[in-house]
Amino acid sequence: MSAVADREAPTSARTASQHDAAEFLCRAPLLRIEHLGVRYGPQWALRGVDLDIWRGDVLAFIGPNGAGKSTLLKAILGLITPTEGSILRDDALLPTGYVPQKLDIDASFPLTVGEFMAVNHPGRSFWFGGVPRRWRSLIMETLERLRIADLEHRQLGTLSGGQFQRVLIAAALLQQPQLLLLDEPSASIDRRGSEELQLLLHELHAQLGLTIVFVSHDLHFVHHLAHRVGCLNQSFCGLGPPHEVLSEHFLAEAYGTSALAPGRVHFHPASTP
Amino acid sequence: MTLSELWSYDFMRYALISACLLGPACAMLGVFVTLRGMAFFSDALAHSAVTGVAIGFLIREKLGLQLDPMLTVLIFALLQAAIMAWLFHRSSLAPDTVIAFSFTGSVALGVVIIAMLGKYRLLDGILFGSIYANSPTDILRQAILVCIIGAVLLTQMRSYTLSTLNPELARARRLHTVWLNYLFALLIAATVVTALKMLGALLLSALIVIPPAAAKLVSGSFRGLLVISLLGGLIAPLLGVVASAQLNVPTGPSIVLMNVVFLLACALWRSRRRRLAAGAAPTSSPMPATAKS
Amino acid sequence: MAVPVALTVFSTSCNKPAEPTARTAKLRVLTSFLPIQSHAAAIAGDLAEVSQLLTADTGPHDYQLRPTDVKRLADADMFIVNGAGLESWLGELMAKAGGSGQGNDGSKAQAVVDLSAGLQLTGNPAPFAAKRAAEEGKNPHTWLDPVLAKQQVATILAALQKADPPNAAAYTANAAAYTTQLDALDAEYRSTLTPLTNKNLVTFHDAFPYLAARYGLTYIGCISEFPEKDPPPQKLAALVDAIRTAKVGVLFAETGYAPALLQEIARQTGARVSMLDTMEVGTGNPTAYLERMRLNLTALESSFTPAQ
Repeated sequence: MSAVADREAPTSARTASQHDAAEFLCRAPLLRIEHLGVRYGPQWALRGVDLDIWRGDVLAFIGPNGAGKSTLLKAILGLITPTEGSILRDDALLPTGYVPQKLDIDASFPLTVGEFMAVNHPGRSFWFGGVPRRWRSLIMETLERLRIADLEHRQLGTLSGGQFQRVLIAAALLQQPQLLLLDEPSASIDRRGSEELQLLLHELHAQLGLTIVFVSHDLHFVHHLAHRVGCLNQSFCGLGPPHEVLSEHFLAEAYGTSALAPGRVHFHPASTP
Repeated sequence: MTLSELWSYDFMRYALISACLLGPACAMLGVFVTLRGMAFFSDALAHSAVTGVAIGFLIREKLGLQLDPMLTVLIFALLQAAIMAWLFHRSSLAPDTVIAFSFTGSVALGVVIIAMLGKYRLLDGILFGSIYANSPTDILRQAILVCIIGAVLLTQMRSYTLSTLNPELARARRLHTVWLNYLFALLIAATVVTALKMLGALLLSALIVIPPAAAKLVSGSFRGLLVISLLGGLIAPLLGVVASAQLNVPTGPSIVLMNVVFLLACALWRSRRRRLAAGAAPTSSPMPATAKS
Repeated sequence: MAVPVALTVFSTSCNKPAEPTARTAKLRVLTSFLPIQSHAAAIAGDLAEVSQLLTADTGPHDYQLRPTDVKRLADADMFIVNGAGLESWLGELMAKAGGSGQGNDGSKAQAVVDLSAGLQLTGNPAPFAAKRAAEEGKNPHTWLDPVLAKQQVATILAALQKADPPNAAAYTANAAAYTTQLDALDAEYRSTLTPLTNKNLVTFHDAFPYLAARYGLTYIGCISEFPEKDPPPQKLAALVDAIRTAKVGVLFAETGYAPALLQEIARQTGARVSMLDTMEVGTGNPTAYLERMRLNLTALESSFTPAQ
């Protein structure tokens, strides 16, 4: 419950109109997506997507499997070249941090958390394992921020889902990002861990002024974290504040009526609709 | 026969130098070869040398061009590495499928060419190799190879680690994963071609795969993995050569056996440490709380 | 050792035309590799069809039978081999056919003629030569000695006469002519090599002990126990010592095959590399053996003749 209370504080500026909120934070969008289309072979994954991402936004993409959520995330990240349309960035070198879905790592892979951070450090250096001394303060500071400094010497494969997620976020933060992109951040975490993660992301948003864009199936998580929710199914079938988009009406349209069995509440994690 | 006596022979000195150069180089490369699940890839390239030699002879017989056999082997290995790397990226086939068909396909092509030319004897020389056939030129080649591998790995080690962990994360970090993969494939090809003369195709995989596998058993960090496989890659071939001299047994198998001994020693060490850890307070155990959700 | 060892495989796979009805056609003789093909073709002339089993430039040491070979063996009236364990892959064939190759009186079975029968086989005189399990350490490379080759020719002649009595006289004439040529070859070797000194022989594999013994060459040793197998370092060191002590000037690789190891040992001991033909690969004809033996003689002569 404390998560809900916490959520109210930094987002009090959010009003009924998303535009007002954005203008409160910044004048120009950080990133503008215009009529974006991505095609894999004959199949359109995304088509006619228009979206402005504002500085300080916390934006969630939801939608059924194969709706193009991850594709949109990767297009924003620049990993996918759009088939049509464009993505305009306020700053061509917009520093972006990417948090992939929990990596499948062989538990015996001998890479410590500290070394993983070193691997993700944006600087240039010879590296032969370990944490280079001149990077150590930044790495430890970042781990501290995510309250996982004690994990420095733990092997990556031995971490719990929640710990791993934090390590991945810490690695993304090393890029000094303005925009943080997360793919299914709560997917492999239990309920308590996911609440802690919400808190943490709130904190980062507030302290660092991060713009956060994430994909999730976990409607509970989305509802408590996002300022805006985009419901995707090739294009946006709904885009607005969580309480509007996460209504039965919208979800029925996006996921199909069958997905919304009676008694199913939005706030339950809907991992496999 | 004492070591100092053996040291007085050129072929022995060259063999030891060659072991010191190629062992660590193969082990370092092997760290990433094994982490990326490409052990079969290097094996495939080693066997493609059969085809490289065969093509060299075909060119000699049909076009009358005298080429250094190493050159045709290198060119063919690079070609095959590039084709395999390209197929990994461009086709929907699983890597092991790509490797399997290009491996068997190229070896079959080589054998057909050799059969057409009637040079069956060539095959054995490639498959077994001879560590005592090292010439100063070979040593120089190997030293150059070690420099190249060292330079690439020292500068690109973080990139390779990241792209091994998650190629997407690497690409998000603006790393050219495709080129890194090609470069890696080419490095393996060059290593295989250079080391082929030392161990031959059949035993080369041992130098690439065993030291990192052993190191993985006992190391808890990447630095540990690198250092221990480097040590294994250095010590096992050296001991292999020395043991073969002392016990008067063939050298290639002796090197491989030393690698296996190293692996077993690492496995023993690990189980001992495990038992000690289990005997001590359970809190000191670095075992995962919830390894995978 | 019995002269013609009858093979069960022949009797089981083609016992129908073995009776005199088939005598109208020429005798079909199969030989295993180059020197035997040369000898047999010289003796048979046009009177018999003589063909060689190992084509495709493969040597008899590590040969593996192909399906077509089995058919050729079955179709032949006679198969002439070097013996002394060289054609150990024939054992597989016998096992495959379910026969043991022994205990057959061979009344109408086609015969395998073993040319090593009656020859004085030596062990391996060179300190680094092979121990061939197949034949109690006997060295099989008898054909490289022209005098032993004459005995092989006599064995072939006897086998042909027995199998094809109507042409016996013609075979005898051919064999006599061929033997004269072998005698001439022997004389050439003798006259060429006898005056030379410091005739040290180091070869890649142990193919030349009979030749060395015949013409007074000092067989220092060979580099490889078996073709293409790595020798242990102690043996290599001993060989290097022996080469240095005897001041060997030339190491002999094999025609068409100069392994890197031999070249490197030559470089390290300051020796040159020359070529000798073991005649294990290649296709035989009536003159091939004589020609190749003469090329070997030329190579030996130029190698043992001190440079001016």
